[in-house]
Amino acid sequence: MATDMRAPRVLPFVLAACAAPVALAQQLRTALADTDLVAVAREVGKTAFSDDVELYRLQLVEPLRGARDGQTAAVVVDWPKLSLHNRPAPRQTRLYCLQDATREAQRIGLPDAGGPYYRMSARAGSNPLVGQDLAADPILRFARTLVEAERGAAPADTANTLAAMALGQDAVVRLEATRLFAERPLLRARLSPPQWSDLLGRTSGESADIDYKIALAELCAEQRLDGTVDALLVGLGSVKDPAYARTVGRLCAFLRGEDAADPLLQRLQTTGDQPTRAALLLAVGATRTGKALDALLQLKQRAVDDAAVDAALQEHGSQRAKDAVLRPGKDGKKDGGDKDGGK
Amino acid sequence: MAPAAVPDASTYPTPLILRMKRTADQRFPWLLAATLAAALAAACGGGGGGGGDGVPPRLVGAAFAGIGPTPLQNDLLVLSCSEDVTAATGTAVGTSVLTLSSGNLGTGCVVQDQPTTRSVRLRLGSGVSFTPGVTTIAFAPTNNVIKDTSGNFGTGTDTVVIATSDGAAPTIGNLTLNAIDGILNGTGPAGGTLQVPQNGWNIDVAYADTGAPTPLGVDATRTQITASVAVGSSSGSQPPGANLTPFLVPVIATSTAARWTVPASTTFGTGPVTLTVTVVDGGGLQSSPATFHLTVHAWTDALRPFETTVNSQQVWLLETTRDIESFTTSPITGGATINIVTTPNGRADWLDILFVLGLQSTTPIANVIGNQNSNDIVLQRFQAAILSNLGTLYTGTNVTFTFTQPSGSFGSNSSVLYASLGYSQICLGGSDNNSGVDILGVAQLDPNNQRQNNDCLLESPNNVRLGVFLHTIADDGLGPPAVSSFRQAFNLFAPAVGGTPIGNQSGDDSRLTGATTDTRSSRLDSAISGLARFVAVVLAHECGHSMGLVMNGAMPVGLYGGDPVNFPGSTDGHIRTQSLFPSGGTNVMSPQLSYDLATDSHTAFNSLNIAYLREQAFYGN
Repeated sequence: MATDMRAPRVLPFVLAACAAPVALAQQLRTALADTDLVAVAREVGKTAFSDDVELYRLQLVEPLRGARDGQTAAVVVDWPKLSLHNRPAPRQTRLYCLQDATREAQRIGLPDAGGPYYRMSARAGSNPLVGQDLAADPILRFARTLVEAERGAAPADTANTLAAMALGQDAVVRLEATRLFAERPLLRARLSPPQWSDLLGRTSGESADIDYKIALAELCAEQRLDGTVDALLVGLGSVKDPAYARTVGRLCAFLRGEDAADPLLQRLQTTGDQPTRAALLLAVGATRTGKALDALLQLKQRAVDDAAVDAALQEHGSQRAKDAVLRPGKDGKKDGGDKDGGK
Repeated sequence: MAPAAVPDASTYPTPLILRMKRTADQRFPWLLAATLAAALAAACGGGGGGGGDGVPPRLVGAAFAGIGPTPLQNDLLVLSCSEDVTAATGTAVGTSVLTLSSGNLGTGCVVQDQPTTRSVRLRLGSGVSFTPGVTTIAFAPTNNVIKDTSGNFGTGTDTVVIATSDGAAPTIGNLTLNAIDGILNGTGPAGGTLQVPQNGWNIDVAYADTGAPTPLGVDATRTQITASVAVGSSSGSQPPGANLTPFLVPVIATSTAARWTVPASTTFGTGPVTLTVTVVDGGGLQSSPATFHLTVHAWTDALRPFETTVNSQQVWLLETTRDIESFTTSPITGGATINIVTTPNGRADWLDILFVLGLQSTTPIANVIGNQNSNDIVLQRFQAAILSNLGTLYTGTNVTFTFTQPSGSFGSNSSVLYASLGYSQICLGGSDNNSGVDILGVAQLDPNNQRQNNDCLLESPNNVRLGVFLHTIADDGLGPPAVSSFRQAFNLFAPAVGGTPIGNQSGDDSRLTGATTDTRSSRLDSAISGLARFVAVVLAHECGHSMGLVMNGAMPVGLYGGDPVNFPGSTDGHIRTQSLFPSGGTNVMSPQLSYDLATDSHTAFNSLNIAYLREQAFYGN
């Protein structure tokens, strides 16, 4: 029970901090809200309770929410033979989002005195490494803002702080804050027109961080902000990324319903360069509307071997669209259908 | 006029082994002895510089370069060989050295120089006479001029056509096995050495030719593949350095790439191996050699994922009968949440979730096709799509999935010996026991797939609830924002967010048969296929764990799992290789999945994960 099974992996994990990607923290906000204990903590030991169960001891460095009076440590229950995604990293100081595991501890037969017991949230990004300066760490500032909001901080103050984070430079935090606004209608109701203007401008202007651009686009669409469709289309001029093009189509469908493809098709008529045309066509397909399908099938009849049209039909996903891509022509090649159509 | 389009020596890089030795000598004199020993061992083994002590060099290309199409005195002829060769500058070369099918090399033909370690350039003599593109050339039995580094003079019956050079040797851009990407094949920053079985794997070569005015392109049939170890073949043991292409099966050969498979009749010796590959272009010029280091390991039952001695394939039962709970929904701001009721309701839990999502109706339309009602048809399409997606994700593997119970049973065992049962199973279930940790799926980790796994267990003192949890998918998906991909797919159908279930709207029957095509029918198709795809990817991920993915550590210890330094975003038992996937897609064994990631058509197993599943690479010792 007291055997330390820790592998000597401190250095790689320390180095990992420098390489942490932005897309990982996509659900930190959810874990911060849903779990029982949120704390900055450091793993200080690991013991094997049985062949199937290991216990990680965490020393709480800064409890943010849910700590019991005088609590200085927590024990994370883990099943090393199972494909659980998040496990405490040896000797590192991280933000932990922990779920009470009293029920599991009783089932396993862990002694009450050895607890309190927790499980780690499986949410992506819910166990980020934090910097040495805890006060300045941007992820911890984000976490503290949410904790304070839960404790009754003025909503307007919370919204202002998060808006600044959503428009800020930290890639992880701005993504989390932007998505949080999209998920919290009451919170985003506190945003001022200038803040919305900034967010809309960033939606069309962001060209490097695609996940962030998509999150901004979703936020503006969720708010049904005037000018969102135009901003989405402008964004396609500089970003041809398929994931973003899909988002544009999907959000146009959300905002315009059956007419979703109209502005995209209009833009298509004045677009000369092939990458932008392909992105627009993909967005048309991603609207998944009947009108979009009709338009794509017409294009398919005119240009049998147009890869961009085929990709758009695949994106549409309906059976007719798929059939149009797969249907063989008279010469055995794939064909969109009526040979005379559109001539 | 000087002959045109003749490659200069500067265009032929020095072979890697020699450059490495020189660098080591200069920077670390105390390493000299060890370096020399290693270089000698490599040379004797045929690695890097090629050649073996018992294998004489062979001609693999002859490139004529002259001022016109017809050879004249002082024009040049470059001979490319199968290994490193030497020939003294100024030595006369006549019929005793080289044999032409017609004509001759001219009086006074001499060795001018060596543009590369594998080639010799001749200056043609007076009265030279041959026809480029027609005349063939070979080493004469009495050759005493061109020899390999071990002193073997080029001999043999191999003849090559003298081609007209395009002026530039082809280049090899990539040499790998099983199309495994550089960051996963041992050449990347994560290090390691690929471990493969004695046969059954592929050699992939990517190349280019940039001659002028028109590149002649690589002639894949003249590719030379040698190994630093003896290789068993249908014609007996091939010594180190022997060209192995006659004993490999060509799979593809295009203008830019070629693949050969090592068939069962060809067997590599175990241990460290260096493959050396060169390609020859249509003008007779040969590339610099490319090398690849690997480890060959004999199969053992413990290491082989899918040994076929008892089970011809790995079967996975997708078990769908778990009924331990039911579900209700509640509105939340901007969406809905799914509440878990911990009592069974006589219907499988995963089906309950399909009702929540509106893919099933409490009042289905009867007799839509034959006696199948709308629920039956949706279910049929959903399950078929799951199997189809799994089939695609596991393409080329010896793994199949079924919803039909095979013979035998696990009883209460969490796993059994691989050979003692014909299948593994995973439960398609409802919730993860309301653990609050939001799990899409949990399975047993089974290194090397040594056992048949029962990933249908409920919670016990030894484990948490296993399976794939549709409740997590749906509960997360029905939450805000309404613009999310998931909500866009299911807003139309899920009653909890204002939708009308499939089967409850007039015309849904004809939408299901394809007779009616409108936006709802498109959305219906997308909802079924989207959820099926997400479930299939999660199933593929969890079943992957129970077949040995993704062992921590660099090859051959593991499959680079748990290395967030070299593969950012990876966690214990998982690997995220985002750079290998187009935007929107991800590795199936990435530690995080979402509806968007899972439904992207680019999402797949990374090249090493799929090679492992195809038994073309494996880990352990």
